[in-house]
Amino acid sequence: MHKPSSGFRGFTENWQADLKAGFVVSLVALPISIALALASGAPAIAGLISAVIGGILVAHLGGSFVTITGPGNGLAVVTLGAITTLGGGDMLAGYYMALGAIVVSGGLLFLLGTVRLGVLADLFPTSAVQGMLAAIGIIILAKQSHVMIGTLSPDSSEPIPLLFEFFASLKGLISADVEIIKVAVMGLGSLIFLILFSKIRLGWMHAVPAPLWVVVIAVGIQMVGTKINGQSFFPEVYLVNIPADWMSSWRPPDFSGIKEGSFWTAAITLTFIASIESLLSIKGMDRLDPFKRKSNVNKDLRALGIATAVSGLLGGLSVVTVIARSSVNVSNGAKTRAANFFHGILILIFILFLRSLLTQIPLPALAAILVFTGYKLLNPSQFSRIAEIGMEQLFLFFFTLFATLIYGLIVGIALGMLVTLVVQFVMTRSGMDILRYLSRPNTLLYEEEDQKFILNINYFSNFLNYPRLKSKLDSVPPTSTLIADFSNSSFVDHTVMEHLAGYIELFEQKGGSLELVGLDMSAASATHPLGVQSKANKSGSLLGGLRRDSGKARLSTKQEKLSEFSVMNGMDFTSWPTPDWDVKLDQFNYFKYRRVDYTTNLLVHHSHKLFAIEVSSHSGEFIMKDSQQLACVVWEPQGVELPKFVLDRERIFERLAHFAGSKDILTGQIKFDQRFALKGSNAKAIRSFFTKECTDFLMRNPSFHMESNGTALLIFHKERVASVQEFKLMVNFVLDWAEQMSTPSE
Amino acid sequence: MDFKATPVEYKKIATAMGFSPMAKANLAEVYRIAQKCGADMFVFHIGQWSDKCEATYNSFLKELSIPKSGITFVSKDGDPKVELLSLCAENKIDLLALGALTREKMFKVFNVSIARDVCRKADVSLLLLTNSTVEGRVCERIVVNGSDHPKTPDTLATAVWLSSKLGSRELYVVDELNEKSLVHPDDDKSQLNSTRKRKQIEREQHGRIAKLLSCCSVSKKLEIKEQHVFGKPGYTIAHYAKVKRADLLIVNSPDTKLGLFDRIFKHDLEYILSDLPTNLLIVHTTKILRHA
Repeated sequence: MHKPSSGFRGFTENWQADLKAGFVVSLVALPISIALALASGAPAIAGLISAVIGGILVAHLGGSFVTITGPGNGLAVVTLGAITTLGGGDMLAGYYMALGAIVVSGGLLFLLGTVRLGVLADLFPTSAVQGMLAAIGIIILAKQSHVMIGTLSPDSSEPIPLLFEFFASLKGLISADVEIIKVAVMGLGSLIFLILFSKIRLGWMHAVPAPLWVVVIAVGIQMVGTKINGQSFFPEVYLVNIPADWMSSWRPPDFSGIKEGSFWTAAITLTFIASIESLLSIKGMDRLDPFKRKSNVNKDLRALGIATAVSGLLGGLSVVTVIARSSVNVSNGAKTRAANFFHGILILIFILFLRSLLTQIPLPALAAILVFTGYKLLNPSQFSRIAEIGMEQLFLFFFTLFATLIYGLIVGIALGMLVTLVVQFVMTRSGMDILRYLSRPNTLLYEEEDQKFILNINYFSNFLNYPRLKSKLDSVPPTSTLIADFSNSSFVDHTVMEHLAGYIELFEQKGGSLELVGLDMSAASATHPLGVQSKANKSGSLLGGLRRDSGKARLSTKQEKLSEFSVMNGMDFTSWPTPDWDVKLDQFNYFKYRRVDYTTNLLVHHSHKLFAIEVSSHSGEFIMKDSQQLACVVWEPQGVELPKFVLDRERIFERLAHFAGSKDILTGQIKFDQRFALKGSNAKAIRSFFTKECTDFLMRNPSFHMESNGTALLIFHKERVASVQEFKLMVNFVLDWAEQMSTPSE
Repeated sequence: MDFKATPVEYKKIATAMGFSPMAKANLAEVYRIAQKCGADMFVFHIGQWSDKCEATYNSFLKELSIPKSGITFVSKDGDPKVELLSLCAENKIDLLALGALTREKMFKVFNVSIARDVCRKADVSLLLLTNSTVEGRVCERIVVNGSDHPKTPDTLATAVWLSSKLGSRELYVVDELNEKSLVHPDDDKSQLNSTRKRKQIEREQHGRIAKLLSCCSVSKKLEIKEQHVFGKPGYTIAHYAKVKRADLLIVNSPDTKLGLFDRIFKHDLEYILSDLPTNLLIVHTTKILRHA
């Protein structure tokens, strides 16, 4: 697909598509913006201003492509908190002071983008962030459920008591006024409609998004009811209030609290949640972008900062990137940032010309939309998904959730991070390692060949040192091949695995590849591909267990690919072979000076008498231990006399040859002799083994290291963990050779 | 630049005798190196030299079949750190070889082994041995620092000289480059720019290293590979040596003597010392630095 051009040309080429998408989004954004303003405890117009300013400014200044900006779910909770605490009970005074905090938070966001701290959002453990978002969902749900059934001012203010109070008020409805019952029926009816909407099978109904249906139906009921009744169908207090003189009644934000701690707490919390919500949304949208463009996160943060400051000055809420509206945007065919711009402009037109219609929207309908939004943020179906990744992740999720509900957002996420760290200390038994190596660099990235990068990760990899890993991952063009080798790290946590999964997807989309190697041992002790990958249980008993029930052990992605490969080539795959195979390796000189610790990923080809295996070995003991992982093929060629020799290019075997005292042998094929170093003692037998055919075949293929012990050949490529590609290349090479050898030459 | 690379040729190699489990292997290793370099070997002992020590020492020499006449032995009482360095100065030692543990213990940072302490103050070239064996291994693969620094030419020349003496076959010249010289890629466009910039820097550095190597007398047997790595200086080369499974890592001597402050805020050499990947040679250039 052709990428849309940027700038004005992109606009002229795609404006129809963007206008259409922008229109649909503005219809969705209109009710949600009003609803979020109400959930924030601010006047309805504040949400609309935020959407208009967000659309117009971020479309011009931003660094992302198909995102939509406006008031956000998570921020509603923070803004409400700010208004209540700053105003000290007076919501209107609080609102103007909160606007001051919003302007300051805009400045802070701009600053974050300028010093390129977009990476900060990646610093939080995944499960803790999920827990915090779920807690925000509960807070919205708890507050708005009361508005939905007509209780505008419930007794409690904390989320958990609010939830309990809701059921009490529900009972109280039976003996309530007709007016209240009307409101409650409207609210509950809207909620039921929203829940059932996805089950409705009428195609034309899905042409308009559910929240808009709710608002349209509710406004319809109100207007028809008013006509019949002669007076407002729902009482005035239950209607959206946009004063006719909203433009002339503008007042500047109140900065009088700037010297107080609570003002700054509000500003910092707003900045924190705004950056997390925006960055998560931007990242999510990069995956949904049909043209696979990469957003400039820091530029977007700067744009959001400017938009937030302007919006605050004009009386609007913070501007963030929102994922729900953005995905509506993409699914309606948006191509460039202009869609966001149109969405903003159209909302402005709605406010200017449809004000009287907007003031007919009943609050319970909007509250129902918010209750539904809150429920979706909580998303109970994710519980089982998190539990699959690991029970400790579920624990962290709920811990952060309750900590957030009780102590607020900032303390909640901080406690979540702390407990995540404690859990990692205990689970991986590498607490000391974490402390010792946390502040140290742990990544090495180099270009082994053109377009082929090796990334080696030392010590451990978790959410705290992820920024270092991320900066390395970002510096590799996603069109190239990258092998991330974790064999030197003792564990990799869930957050990093989750991010890596995203990178694997990114590399695939752009035509490159990212492969994780060195995790086989960890995969077997983890319960899920994205769970904590730890080698803490690398004890004899675990290995014994794995070898016993090799069939049952969980496979890493690499092992799954190898297993597929073996089936297609008529080979047997065993993920944890028995120690018998280790013994077969000891016959080679190469392993004489190395102790084989364990082997994995055995592929056996019976008719060619060869097997491929991954070996983990070490030389030296204790503190001088030098561990190594290596993939190799052992092959017993049939029907030929196999002399003892070593052949290689990088001279890995020289070490052994030194002990064996053998000499260089020239086959007489000049090019072959130039490329390889061949050593052995029986020159005559070796020359007769390396026939012209044989050397020609070896010249056509990449150079492998080979050692022959007289009965079998040991063949391997590099002295490090092999990627699936390299593993396949090696096995195919030997299979071809065996094939060639078994067909008698003319 | 009109630099001339002069290898630091080691004529007098000394080792400190302790009675650690690795003592015998270290003795064997240092003797082998001295033999290969054609250097005189000195053994220093700091502390009380008892009869028992004498007997053990003699049995080591006997088991390793090292002639006693081939070694100059000096024993002295006093503070190990001070005495070791003064002995080196007295005897005009140019390479001090010491056994070292691969990793400092967390709570001993302020009370580290003698080897490391000396290393931090040494005015001689220092060889830290991590995996000496009695039988000996060929020093096959050497990783040497090739970054743009006035001390590098001599270090590189020393590496080439040593590789010919030790019979090494592969020499990896690792050029550590500062990540900060690259644009951090934010989007597709800056990614392209960043790659272009990286390639340009690598080309420039390649020219510099080629020029340096042309000043050294490289034997045909030695295969030289160049690797440009962007990352934290000091740490990167150590990690690379670990990944490449090198037998010897050769680096420049530190520009300043390392103090307590440097140990807490680690940089350059400190990264290597705190987690030794392999045998380490710190080349101390005797030449006055004209370009510093």
